[in-house]
Amino acid sequence: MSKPESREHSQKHLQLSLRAQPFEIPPLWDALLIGRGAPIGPEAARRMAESLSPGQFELIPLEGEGSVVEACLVRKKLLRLVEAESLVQLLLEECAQMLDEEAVIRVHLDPELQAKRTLRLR
Amino acid sequence: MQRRVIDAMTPDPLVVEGEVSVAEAARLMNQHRVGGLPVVTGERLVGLLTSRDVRAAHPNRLVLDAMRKDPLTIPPEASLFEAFERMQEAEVERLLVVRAGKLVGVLTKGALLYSLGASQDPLTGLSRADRLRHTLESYLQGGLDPTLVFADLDSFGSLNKAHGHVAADRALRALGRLLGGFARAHGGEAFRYAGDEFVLLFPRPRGEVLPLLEELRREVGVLKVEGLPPLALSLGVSGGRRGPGRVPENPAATADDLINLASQASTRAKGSPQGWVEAAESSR
Repeated sequence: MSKPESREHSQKHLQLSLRAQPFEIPPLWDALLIGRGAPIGPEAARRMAESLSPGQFELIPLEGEGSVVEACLVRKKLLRLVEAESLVQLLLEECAQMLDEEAVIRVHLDPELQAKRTLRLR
Repeated sequence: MQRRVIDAMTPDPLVVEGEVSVAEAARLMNQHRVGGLPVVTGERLVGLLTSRDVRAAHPNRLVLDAMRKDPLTIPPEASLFEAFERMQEAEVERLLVVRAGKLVGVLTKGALLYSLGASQDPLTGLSRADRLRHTLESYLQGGLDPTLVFADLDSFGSLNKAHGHVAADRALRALGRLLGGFARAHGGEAFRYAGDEFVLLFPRPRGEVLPLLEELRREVGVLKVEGLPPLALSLGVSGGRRGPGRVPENPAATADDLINLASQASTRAKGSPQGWVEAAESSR
């Protein structure tokens, strides 16, 4: 009967590799679409945003069971530019292909104002 | 005495904090074998998490994100019948018992049905006095003055002595069946008040009920109970006089008055030729 190999002679070893990158603050960008069955719910997302960026995000719950999205968390400064309803509608339409009940989708939104006026010549 | 929610609820129930995960709440539910947990943040009741909510939610979610935010509540002083009606209407299995905004207990459907079973008289199958009070109060609160007929079985004591308690029980059972059927046939309900006393309650004016009493006494007179002589009832009548829409200041006290008045009238009816007496009410 052979003796079991002792621990001191084991060939196992641990190898560590690492990857680093700057942590984005806040990590949720400008809007977060939270699916009804997502691992984090609206209240948890709101608290996360509030603790990382106090006062900067607003939670918009979506009523009714029809949509796969339960709520949108949106940067408040965007809501000063457009109506919440229009913004949510836009997000749901444009992200439709990526949305499902379990998903949490973050979205970058870059508002750019365009204006054009005609002034009288001197 | 009408039984209240406080008599059947589980006091100081197990609760869960809204900030824990659904997985943790599920573990608590399994450990304590409960199907639902009231959700609190600090002292404040904020919702209810049921096993159905747990099954539907991701286990990583906060309880706050999986619970029902507007759980049905009921005060501890409410009657068990009111609790039952509320549960049936909302199709829920439990009510949170709240006093002054603070959770004081949980009333489950199982505990409620168990307690309500005690409101049913096993001998006659009729509801008991507390159910009568609840029904009567509900009518009064709804602005309806129902007609109450107090029915006292004549010579029940002698019946007991002469034929024994088993035979007397047979009489009560047969009478209960007859009264229940009679009341239902005329849109009312019969109750066993106590011993040999029954009550028939009709959500109708007295003028419509009085003509029925002769028929009732006739039916009782021909009721055959094995080994017993024919039975007779003395009836006292109260209520059914006010027009609809008037709600008494204190429906519970008015309900007591109506029962007392009809009971006293039934005593006066003993030996009277027509076998029933109307209570004279004036100040309700």
